[in-house]
Amino acid sequence: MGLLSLSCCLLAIFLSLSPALSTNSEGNALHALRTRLSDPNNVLQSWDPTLVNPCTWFHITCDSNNHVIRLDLGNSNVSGTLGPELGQLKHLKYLELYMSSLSGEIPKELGNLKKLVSLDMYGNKLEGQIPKAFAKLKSLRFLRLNNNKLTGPIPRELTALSDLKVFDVSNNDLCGTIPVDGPFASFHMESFENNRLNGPELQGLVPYDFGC
Amino acid sequence: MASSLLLSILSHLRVFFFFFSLLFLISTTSFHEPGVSPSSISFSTIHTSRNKDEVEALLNWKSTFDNHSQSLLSSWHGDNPCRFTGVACNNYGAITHINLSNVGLRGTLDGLELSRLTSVVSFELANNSIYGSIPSSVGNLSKLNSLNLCFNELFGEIPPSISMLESLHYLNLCANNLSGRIPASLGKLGDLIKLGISRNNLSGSIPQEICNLRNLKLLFFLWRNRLSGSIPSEFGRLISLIELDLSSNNLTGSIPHSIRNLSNLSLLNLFQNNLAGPIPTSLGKLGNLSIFDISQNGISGFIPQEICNLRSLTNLSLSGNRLLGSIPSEIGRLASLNKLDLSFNNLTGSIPYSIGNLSSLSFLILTQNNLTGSIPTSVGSLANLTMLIIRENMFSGSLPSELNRLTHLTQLLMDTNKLEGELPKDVCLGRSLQNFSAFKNHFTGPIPTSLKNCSTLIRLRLEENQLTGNITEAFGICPHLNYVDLSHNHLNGELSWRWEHCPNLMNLRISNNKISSEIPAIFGRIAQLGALKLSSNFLSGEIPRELGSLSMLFELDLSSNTITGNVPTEIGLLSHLAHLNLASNNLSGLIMMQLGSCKSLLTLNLSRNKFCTSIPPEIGNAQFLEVLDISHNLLTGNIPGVLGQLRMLQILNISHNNLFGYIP
Repeated sequence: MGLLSLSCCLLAIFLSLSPALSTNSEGNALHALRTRLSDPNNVLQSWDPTLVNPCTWFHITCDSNNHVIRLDLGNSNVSGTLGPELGQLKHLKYLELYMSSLSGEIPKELGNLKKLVSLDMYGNKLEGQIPKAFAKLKSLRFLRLNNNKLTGPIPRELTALSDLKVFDVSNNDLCGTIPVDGPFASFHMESFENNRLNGPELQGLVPYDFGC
Repeated sequence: MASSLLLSILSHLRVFFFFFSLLFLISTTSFHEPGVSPSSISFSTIHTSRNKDEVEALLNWKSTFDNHSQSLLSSWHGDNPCRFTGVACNNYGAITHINLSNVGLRGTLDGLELSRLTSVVSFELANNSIYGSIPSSVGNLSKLNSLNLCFNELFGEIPPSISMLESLHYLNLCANNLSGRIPASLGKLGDLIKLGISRNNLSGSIPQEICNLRNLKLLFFLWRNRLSGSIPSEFGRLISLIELDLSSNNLTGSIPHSIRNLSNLSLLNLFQNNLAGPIPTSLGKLGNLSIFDISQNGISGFIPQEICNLRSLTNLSLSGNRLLGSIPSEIGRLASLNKLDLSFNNLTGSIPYSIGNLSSLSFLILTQNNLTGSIPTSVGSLANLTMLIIRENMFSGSLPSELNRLTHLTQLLMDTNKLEGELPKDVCLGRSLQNFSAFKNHFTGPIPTSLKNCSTLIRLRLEENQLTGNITEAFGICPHLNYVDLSHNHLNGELSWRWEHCPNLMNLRISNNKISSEIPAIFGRIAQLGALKLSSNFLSGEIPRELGSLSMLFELDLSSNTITGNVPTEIGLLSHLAHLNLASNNLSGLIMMQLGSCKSLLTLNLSRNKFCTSIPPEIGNAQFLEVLDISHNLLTGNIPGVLGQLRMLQILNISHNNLFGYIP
């Protein structure tokens, strides 16, 4: 018991003297992501959490204020699940996580990324539903979630994303009807193919989540 | 007179009654062994009946464990518990100590009849996988002196019955999943010397009754819980306290002034809370204080001059608060100081000259404040300094040459200031330097000569200065060198073949300088290279085909040079290449179709060269391409329709060529 108190004391001294993980919250969020992921190609080798910010990490792009604006892990062979931590990258504009082996659900916290312009998670093994919280991504122009195992409906709330130019949810397991309002008026049918969708929403006649 | 007679009669009666009941007890118990003399029978039968309770309690408890845990208690059989592993008895054969720490048991405490173990003085069960809750019958262990259940998986609340353990000196419940409030009744444990309930899920506020524990000395660890509310102002009553750690909670309010009464206090850790208000000036009375850490709170106001009275202080950490004003001028009086961290505050003024008196100082961290002025010459006296981190301030003037004396530095981070003059040439003379950052200043002069043989160097960032001189021989031995950025300076000379000897080099950036040479073919042997940026120099010659061996390369920027010749087809071997910028050179020949093999290509800029013939349709294989700029060349022919398949394309610039046909 004397040994325990001695070791607690020594631990406290050690922790206070050694250079700790950075207090940079964006770096810590990305480090949390790294601990979830399996990285056979070692693309995250440069992700050193003791650095003052993640701006010199490979596949990270920062703006002049050292805030992360871009995360490029497309085609990187990483696997594992995504967690809520990505929602802390408040200045993120480009989230490129396509063509890897990501699984699990899409964290609803991604809806917090108010500056997001491009969200690409196509070509993974993602499941669960498209979060309704995506309706908060007011700057979104590109949303590509095709070629996953997503289920549930296309949230009708996404019709509020007036800047949305490219939308692709093809090759999933989505159900319900296809919204027709707002940006959805200009999307081609190819963006929705290979799902279990019931065709375009017939307003006033069929409830939009019929069959879902 | 009559009363004293009565008392003596009563006391005699009491003695008589005791012996009578003892006789009665003996006569009603059975004999275990025939032919034993009466006196020994009386002793052994009492001994046996108590022991029987204790044995049964332990064996019953053992039976609630799984098979593996039971096998760890294989000696627990028979009727003499004093022989069980982990069990010790007193002279009367009663169990007094149970020590099963680090055994590897997996089970609960529910099956342990603590009411039968009333002689137990010490119960140690640390570092096992005990789950379930702490039974309230723990209050029955009336003689308990020490309880250690740390590093298990216990959940539920701390039973208030613990407060019945009047003899308790040591209470250790750390590193479990205990929740709920700290029972106020713990304040009744008047003999408690050590209280450790860190790393649990405890919530609610710290009950002020805890402050009644006048004998609390060794530890008061509540760190890493979810405690809220303020630190009780009655804290000053814990006058024996030596170590206090309330860090990593949600505590609010200010640091109570009564803390000044804790004259034996050596460790005060309050970091990572929501504390506000000022640092009490009375803290300066704590003559034994060695560690004071209030990092990452909302503490405001000035750093009180009184702090400088703390002669025993080794660690002063005020990082991440809202402190204003200057660093106290008498800071040099902290003769024992080893670590000074004032980073991430709003401090102003300059570094006091007296800082040179801190002869034990190893770590000086002032990151991100509004500090101004020049670095005092006295900093050069800090012979034990290993980390000097002053980045993101407004320091100006030249560095004192005395900094050359700091030969034990492992980290020197001065970037993002207004410093000028030359960099200390002896910065790596002691061969300790690992991380050297001076970017975004106004430094002039050469790259420090001691960097040439700096075998410990890992990261070097000198970009965005006005450094001059020749870099050809500037670097030699670099076994650990990982990141080099010398961009945006006035460096001249040649790209040295020596870079090949840096087996860990992943990032090499020397753009925006005056380097004039060819790109050495030997660069192809820097096997780990991920990013190579040599743009805006006077590079000439051709792109060596050996660059195709850089299998990890994902960024190659050679733009704005005078490179000639063709782009070698080997570039197509770079399967991880994401960004290729060869713009503004004198490249000619054709755009190789091999570029289509660069499957990871995101941006491709070949503009402002002399590429001729047509755009190869293989470019369409780079399916993730976002930016394609081939403008200002001599391209002819049709625009390949396959460009229309580039689904990720955002920017396409094919202007200023000789192309014709339809836009896909």
